[in-house]
Formats: sequence, C-alpha cells, structure tokens
Amino acid sequence: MKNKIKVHRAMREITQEQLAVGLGVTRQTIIAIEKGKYDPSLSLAFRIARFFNVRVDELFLDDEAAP
Amino acid sequence: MKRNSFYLLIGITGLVLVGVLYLSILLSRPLIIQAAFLIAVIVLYAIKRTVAATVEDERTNVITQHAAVATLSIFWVAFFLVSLGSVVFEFSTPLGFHFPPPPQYLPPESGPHFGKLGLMQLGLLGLMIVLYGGFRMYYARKFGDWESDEE
Repeated sequence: MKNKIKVHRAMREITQEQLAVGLGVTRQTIIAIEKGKYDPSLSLAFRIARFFNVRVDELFLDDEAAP
Repeated sequence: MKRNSFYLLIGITGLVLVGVLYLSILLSRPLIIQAAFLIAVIVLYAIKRTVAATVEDERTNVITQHAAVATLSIFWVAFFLVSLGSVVFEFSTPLGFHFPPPPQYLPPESGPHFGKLGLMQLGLLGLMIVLYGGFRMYYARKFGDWESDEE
C-alpha cells in the first residue's frame, strides 16, 4: 500500500524519530511503512492520520484501485 | 536494566542451569532441574519487563506472530512423530496396556529409560529455537527491519 507519510512529514518538517515517538512506535516501523514494506493496522493508520490532521484516505492509497 | 546486561544475565542463567542439571543427574532428582528451570524462566520474564530501550510495537508483534506460526506449523509434525514413535514402544507388548507396578526403589540402571526420548525432545527444541530465529530474521527482513533511510 502506498502512502504519503513522507510528504506530510516533509511539509511539517518532522523527523521519523519524532513521528515514531509521537505515535508510540519504533522508528524502524515508520521507515517500513514509508517504504511500503509494512501496512499498518487500521488503528495505527488512524493515529497517523490524526497526527497529521488529515483523513486516512488522504494518507494511504490502495495499490489495486483503478488509476 | 540495560539490554546488554539482560543478555549477559541470560547467558549466566544458562550456565547455572547446566550446573543444576549436572547436580540433578548426580542426585537422580529430576525435580531439581525442573524447578530451577521454571523459576529461571519466570524470573527472566519478570526482569525482561524492566529492560530499558525494549520497544515493541505492532510491527514487531506481527513479525513474532508470523515466525511463531511458521515454526509451529513445522514442529507440531515433528513432535507428533516422536510422540507416536514412543507410544508404539510403550504399547507394543503383549496385550498392550499394563497397570503400573507399585512404586518401589529402582536402581538407576533398571529404571524407566525415558532419557533417550528426553534427549530427542531437547534436540528438537534446540532445532525449533534455531528455526524460529531463522523465521524471525526472514519476517523481520520482509517487514522492513533492516531498511535504512537518509535521515
């Protein structure tokens, strides 16, 4: 699943470490999510969206959705 | 406690347990090593909760779950095979089922020979731990454990 976490992080000038601490996860998890290696649970996805004050569907994109 | 100190403690506990096993064999008292092992595991689990910088989150939990399921899906077959083999030895006597004789002192050399089964199970447990470690590394890599970033 693709996502725009890196973009939102860059817009707010937040490091992966700061985001990880804010969400209560490891920095490695943030890296894995950003690189598409790990799809977060719904709960974590909502927490990330809340962190950036955006909707979940603005943050995560379905790979199988038609372009 | 720091993480490295915890790993050191695990190593020391392992060595102590080997000594306790030796003592248990010398005294022919299996309860000694069984009690020591159980206490050691409980104490180590309790100490693990105090280890600093141990960060677990949902991704590490997913890795652990995948590795555990993959290991179990292989080793339940192996343990079943060993158990079935020992059941055959137990019951392949005339009429099969026998009531146990009344308890009495048996010299070690004429006692029940469960030792080989125990050794085989220990070997299987060792292999299981190695396989679990392998699966854990595989899933950790799959879920991005060794990914690096520019930051």
